[in-house]
Amino acid sequence: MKFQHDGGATVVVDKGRRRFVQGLTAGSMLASLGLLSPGLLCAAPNPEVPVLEGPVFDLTIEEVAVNFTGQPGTATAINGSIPAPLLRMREGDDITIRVTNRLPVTSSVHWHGLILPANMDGVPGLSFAGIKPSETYVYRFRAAQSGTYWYHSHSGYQEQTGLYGSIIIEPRQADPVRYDRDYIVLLSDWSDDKPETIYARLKKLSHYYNTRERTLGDFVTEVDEQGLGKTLEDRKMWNDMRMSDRDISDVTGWTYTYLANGRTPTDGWEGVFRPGERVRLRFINGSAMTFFDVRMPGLKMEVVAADGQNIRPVKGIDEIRLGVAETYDVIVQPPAGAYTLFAQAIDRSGYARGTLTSQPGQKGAVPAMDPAPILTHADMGMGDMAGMDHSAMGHDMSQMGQPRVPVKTGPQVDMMAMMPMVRLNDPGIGLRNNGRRVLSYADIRNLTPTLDKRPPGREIELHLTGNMSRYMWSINGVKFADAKPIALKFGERVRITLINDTMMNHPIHLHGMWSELETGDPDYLPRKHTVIVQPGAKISYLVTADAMGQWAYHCHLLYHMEGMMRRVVVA
Amino acid sequence: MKTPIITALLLGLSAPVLTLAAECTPEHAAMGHCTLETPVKPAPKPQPAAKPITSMPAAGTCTPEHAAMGHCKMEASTKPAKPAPKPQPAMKPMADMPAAGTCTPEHEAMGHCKMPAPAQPAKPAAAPQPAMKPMASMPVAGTCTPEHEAMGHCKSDSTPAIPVSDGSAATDIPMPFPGAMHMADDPFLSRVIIDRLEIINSDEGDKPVLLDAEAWFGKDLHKLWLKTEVKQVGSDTDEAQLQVLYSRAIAPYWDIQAGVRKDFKPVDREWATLGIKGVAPYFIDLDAALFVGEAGRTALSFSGERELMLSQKTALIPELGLNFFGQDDPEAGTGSGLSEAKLSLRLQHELRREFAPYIGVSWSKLFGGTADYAREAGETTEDTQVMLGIHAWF
Repeated sequence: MKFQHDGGATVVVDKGRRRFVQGLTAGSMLASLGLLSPGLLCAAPNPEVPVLEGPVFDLTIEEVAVNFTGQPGTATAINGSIPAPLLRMREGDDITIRVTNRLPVTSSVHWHGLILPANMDGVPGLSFAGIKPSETYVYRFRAAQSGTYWYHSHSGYQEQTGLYGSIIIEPRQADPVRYDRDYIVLLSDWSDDKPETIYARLKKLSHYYNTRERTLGDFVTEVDEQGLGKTLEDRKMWNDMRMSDRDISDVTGWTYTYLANGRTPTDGWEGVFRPGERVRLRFINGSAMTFFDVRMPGLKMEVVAADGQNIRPVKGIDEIRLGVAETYDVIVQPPAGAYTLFAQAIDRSGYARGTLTSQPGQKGAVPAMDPAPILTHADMGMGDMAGMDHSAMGHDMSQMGQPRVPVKTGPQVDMMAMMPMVRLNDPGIGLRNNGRRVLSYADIRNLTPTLDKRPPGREIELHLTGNMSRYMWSINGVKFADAKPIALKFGERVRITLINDTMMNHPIHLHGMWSELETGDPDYLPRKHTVIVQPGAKISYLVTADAMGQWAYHCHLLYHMEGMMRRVVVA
Repeated sequence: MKTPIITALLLGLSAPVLTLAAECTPEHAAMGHCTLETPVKPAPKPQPAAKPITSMPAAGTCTPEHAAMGHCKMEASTKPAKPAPKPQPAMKPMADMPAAGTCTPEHEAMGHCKMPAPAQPAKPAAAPQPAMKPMASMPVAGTCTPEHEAMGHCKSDSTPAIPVSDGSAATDIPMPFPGAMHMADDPFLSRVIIDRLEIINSDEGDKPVLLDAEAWFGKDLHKLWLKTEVKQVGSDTDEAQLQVLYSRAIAPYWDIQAGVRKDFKPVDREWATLGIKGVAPYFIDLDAALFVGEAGRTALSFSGERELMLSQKTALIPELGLNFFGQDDPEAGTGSGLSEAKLSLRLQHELRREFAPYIGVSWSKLFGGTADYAREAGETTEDTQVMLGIHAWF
């Protein structure tokens, strides 16, 4: 499961590296199927995302001119491509990745979800000093696992400006997943605004990007529907807390254009299949700030892997929520036709779009977006107990939700969840009771048995805290810059319980070690690298501290992570 | 997905047993589900079938784990078989929840306790327990429902109590590559806010122009804050003041602001100031400050406004402003007590987030000595004005 591998000590040997550039996109697929004449290839709707085959890779980080929205801009690309090239590796291979930085600033690449030595993890400050301009860093590690992963910059806001790509590691042994065709669907969010501008705006006016705020009209409608008394009572908590139940995403479609494999919704990504084929779709949420809800109207999905790890197949799924940095592999077996791949942003302010079609060029109908979700009392960590007085709960840590660890209160923490609940079978805000079968964490069991059967020797409780209006984020009320690291003893088994004391979903990513999510069956704990903690909820996972060194542990929302982060030291 | 359903079913099936064995814990009493003074009735004699397990703790026994959770007191466990109270009417709503302190199937599954064979006549011990059977094969972590866990009845895991901490290292451990991370969570920022720049409609002479602006420079919790108010009529500056403040966040929605204020017009005055600025419940923006000047002069200002969204871009903004003075200041034309009240209503439309023109109507009235000074100078003491202006920030 784990190995110690000092890549830095090995001598660089370039054993006649192989490098393939091939498109996974419609044109090349069709060419290989013999369905298209070469002349038609030029009309293929998608420019190709390069595919590089290991075990040796050469990547160059550079600025490129882009135009996603009609407005020219500058993006950060690898080998000139956004998304960055798909890296194909084989489980067990010794991988060498030479990354050259041609940016004017320091850069880095983090291999998200890969189990590797700490100095190969690509986090400046923890793994290495970063890749300075015009320098090359040689990453070396053994591909210790198989599945779908991704990589991205861990420097500044480069991830927002295009520095992300996908990884497929072929299993050494027979793949338990049977499929005839394989597509990456890498979802991301693009803004013409500079990330620094976005962050500054959020600090100055936290609802800057929220264009779905409550209006007097909503109030009048509610009074009409449920009477004045009930409406005022409903509004009271929100007004007392000075929070908005319409606050779903910090950064929205107002500035974001949502991309599928680098394609805008207008262009759309296209994947071609032959009727009856089992098509494997590897969904990766490579966005900076956006949760996506993915579905393909007309098709049921069989979910076969979560965060790269095979799970017991979950059949009959209509829709999957992907928190930022999460990945899911699904199998669909579509009859002839064109099926829209519809990835709504969680706040329904926009969507990424693709088409899975048996007829190249054909498009499926694009469904209307769902109504924008509205937060409930449960999302505020107040349980669902009717008749309780919510008025005084804002900052009041009542006995019920009393944190078991010190949480620093002050201007940086605007609320504590009073009754945080484990909501494994809650698909989350905007997906509840929507008439579709939505995957929830409670559905996920690992395909193979839990490796480390030891019960945890101790528990670490971490509260995800923040102040939305000041746009400050922290853990246990302390931001990363002021926090002591979390110390794990090498080899120990520990439970980490996360409690979300904010009203946003946070995707929490532990580097270097698996987060074995306690989804109900201790014998088949799914191994995740990123775990959504729903607002007002709590969730726990087990971690075996089997990776020596210092690791980053943070919220994967790009504009939260600098505060909502911890260093984990395994020694 | 099946686990919670099974759990719910089991809870439903086992509800009668749970209810019979229920105890009123302080938590439940606090919720109004029961009263602590509940008289405990002796339990019926144990059935012969229960014999083989009499050495086991009976329902309602307090295990160390439970005691640690505050569910019960350990003394209870010294009693070999605690009498099970009759179901209390007050407990009825709890029928779908296991009572704290009771050994429920969930708790048993967690190893917190051992379920006794039911001692109640209603449930012959010899009969197979349908509610119990599936428990053995049930995934353990799934049995603790969120509701129960939130009440502290159980934990969603199978292990007994283990130490809990925030995991912090005892001593700080240096970063391997200090300085390389560049985590700028709190950058130095600045914001200039022209709250109002308006021209006031007036029948006589030049139309007054009013500027009410602020600017801040700094980080999340500490800022340098400037405030200015200028009223210009033609070429004359009627009023002009500037405040230079240190602003410090003290609570999630509140900053205290301390510094100096200089009045240039109508008269030269210098003040030290201490104020509070922030957002009150119901999203009311408040700014209140106390001023202390030379010669023991004191003043108090208060302003509050609320943005009422009509649409995503259009807002109606009522604002109330009040000024008080500690004593008469004939030169400045202000009298002690409440000197001025101003109520305005603006209709503002955002052309973009940073730029919003507005039209508004404002009513103002002078009081007490201030009104007297105005009357002496032949000015009105009450005025209703229409204004046109812009709100902008960058």
